[in-house]
Amino acid sequence: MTEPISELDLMAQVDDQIGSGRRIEVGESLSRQSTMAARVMADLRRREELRQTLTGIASSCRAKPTMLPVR
Amino acid sequence: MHHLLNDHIMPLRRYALALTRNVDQADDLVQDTLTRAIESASSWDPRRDLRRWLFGIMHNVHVSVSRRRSLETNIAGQLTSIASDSVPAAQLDEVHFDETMAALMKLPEEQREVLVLIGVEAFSYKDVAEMLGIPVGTVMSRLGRAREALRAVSGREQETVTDAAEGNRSFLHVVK
Repeated sequence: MTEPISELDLMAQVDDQIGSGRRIEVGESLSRQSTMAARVMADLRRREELRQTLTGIASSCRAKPTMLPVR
Repeated sequence: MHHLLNDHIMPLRRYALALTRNVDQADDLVQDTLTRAIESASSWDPRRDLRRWLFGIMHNVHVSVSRRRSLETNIAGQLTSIASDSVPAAQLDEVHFDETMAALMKLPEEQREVLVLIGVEAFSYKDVAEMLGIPVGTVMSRLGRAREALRAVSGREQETVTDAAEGNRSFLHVVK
């Protein structure tokens, strides 16, 4: 009997901070709950969007080159 | 230490942009963080994670700069702190954001920083708790609230799309 899937499990699944055993259990549970699975996928998508957008801004609109302080 | 720092400038810029929501302030924050890192290089143990150490410094520098800034603002008698926490800085307004990024920028700072450290920079919950000096449970609840807010924005868009699609269908029906 496995423990019921909690909100914390779903969060850890999105952030890849879950043990491999638990990951399988969560994946198994998600395969039977399409609404939950869609939410996890959407969270993952937004995670990637934020990373790309922030990387884009960080590399494009640079007002002045970042300089390492002189030793 | 200089060559080691170079690899972390881009991630630090990302975090600085999310914290300040202003390109110039983000640049200053990166500079101040690197300066502080060089100054305290002797206190860094090479066995420790450099990236984590640098992000911790950036958080601390940002907190003290914000404190100073809000003090100055109060002295000037301008109560803009509430507004500045909910409205993205003018400068970043000019950059086109997708709705997820726009939603991130509207989050309270405590949720924004947790979401970026974990979701973008892939730090562990424990690392973030230590960096920010808060319990892991607090990290999780801030992260949960941040994700909830982003979902709500996407949900609204989904409804609009569905409405439009239904509108189209009924339109086609009438024409036929």
